[in-house]
Amino acid sequence: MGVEQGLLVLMREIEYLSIPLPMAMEHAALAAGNAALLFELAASTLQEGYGVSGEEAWLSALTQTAAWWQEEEKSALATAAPGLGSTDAASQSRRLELARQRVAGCEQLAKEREDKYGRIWRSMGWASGALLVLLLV
Amino acid sequence: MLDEIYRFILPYLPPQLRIAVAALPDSLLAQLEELRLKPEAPVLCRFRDNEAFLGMNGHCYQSCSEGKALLLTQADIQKTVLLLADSSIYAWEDELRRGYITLPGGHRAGLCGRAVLEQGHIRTLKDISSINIRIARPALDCALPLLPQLLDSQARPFSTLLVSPPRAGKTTLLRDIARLLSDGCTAAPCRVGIADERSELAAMRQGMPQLPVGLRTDVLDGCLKAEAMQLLLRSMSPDVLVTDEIGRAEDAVAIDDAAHAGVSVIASAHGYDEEDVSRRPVLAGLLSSGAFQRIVVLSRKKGPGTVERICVPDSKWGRWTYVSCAGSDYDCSKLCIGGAARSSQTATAPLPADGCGAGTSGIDA
Repeated sequence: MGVEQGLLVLMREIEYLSIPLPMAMEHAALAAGNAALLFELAASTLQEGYGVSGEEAWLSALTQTAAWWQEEEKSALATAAPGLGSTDAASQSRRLELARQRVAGCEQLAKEREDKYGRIWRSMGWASGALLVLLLV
Repeated sequence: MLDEIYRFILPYLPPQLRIAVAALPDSLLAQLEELRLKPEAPVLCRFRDNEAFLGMNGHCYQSCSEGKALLLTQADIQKTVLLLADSSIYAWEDELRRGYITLPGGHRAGLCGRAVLEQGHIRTLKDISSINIRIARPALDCALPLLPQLLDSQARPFSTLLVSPPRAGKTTLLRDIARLLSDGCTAAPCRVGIADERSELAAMRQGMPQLPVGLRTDVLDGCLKAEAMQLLLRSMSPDVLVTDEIGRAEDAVAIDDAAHAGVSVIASAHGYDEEDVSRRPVLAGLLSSGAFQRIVVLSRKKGPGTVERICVPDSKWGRWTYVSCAGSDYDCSKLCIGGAARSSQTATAPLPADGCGAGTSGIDA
């Protein structure tokens, strides 16, 4: 949820306010909850002053936080990288929205998996309990 | 000036170019006016009186044939664009459309590349192929000797048109007139409105003027002059409106409106002299309607901003006549931006709060 919210803020900062990327990343970090570090790392790389592109900064932040992400999430977040900061606001917005939808899809999938396996484990719990009762009786 | 270059220019250069420029001797850096960057080409430095190719270790070369000049790659140019745009091209779309990005301190990076068109107009630039970083040098107080000639008996500014060919100091003089009037350096302070269509007068960057335009000055930036003047008139109640390079019919209507609504208009126009501008239909109409009471003709004869003459309307003959300067304590021929600023170069006292009476020397790049 955090990273999706962060991407949404980033998109709005760029599309509606034309806030420069380093500052927009900082604002997104404030909304990104437990994924704040991803946006903070990208912001600090951009602010180092070596002419790093948004794409490079985003991929570098993604690599540094690799341990947090499932493979699908990492791939969804990487969708935001190409041309980040280097095209017009409308293109930025489209790409970030795509990344946000993919991240949302990953989160939905994870939730569905959690529900499914949760149900299996719950059913197995009941079944084992019933079996234990039968054995004791 | 060196401090300005270190603070406001070097951070926008790619690392190897940053090192090479920083290694230049102070005497050369102080004269630096332009840095011209192209991919697979040596970096060209334009100094006040000459130009040279930049090498490493603080050296410059007249010729790039010896292979010692610093060559930039396409990647370096891309890095420079990213640094200039804060890695956010989308945030500078208006500036790219106009072909430049204003840097802190009023310095300016001109850009050329492939224009992306939309309905026949430039939407943005891509594939940037050359960058020209121009170092601005505000000439504070350069208009100080001229200003008394532009005030009426009640010390209100006459509506004035500055006329000169390009690169003769119109904009620099106009900016300083705005600042002096706004800060009340020669008369009571005025509320000044600047219609700065091309961001050259105030060099606005993210809502802040980067060049001194005075404490009581409001700047409407990046908007068509005619529209900006009407908006300033309605919203900021200025005593004086200042605008640069007038020439369109809409500009003339807006100036006529303002000048006949009790507001002094100080503007500039390209032209060789008063007769030259009188041949331009739009300006001829303005001059004959009485919108302007003074014309100041500038040239580069003794340096940028040399005042050739000041003209006043002669109602009897229906034409413009010269103000006699010779023999008075005011001599047009001795006035030029460099001259006025040189005289203030010796002033070492810090600027007073209102910015009047002292300043740095030099001229706009």
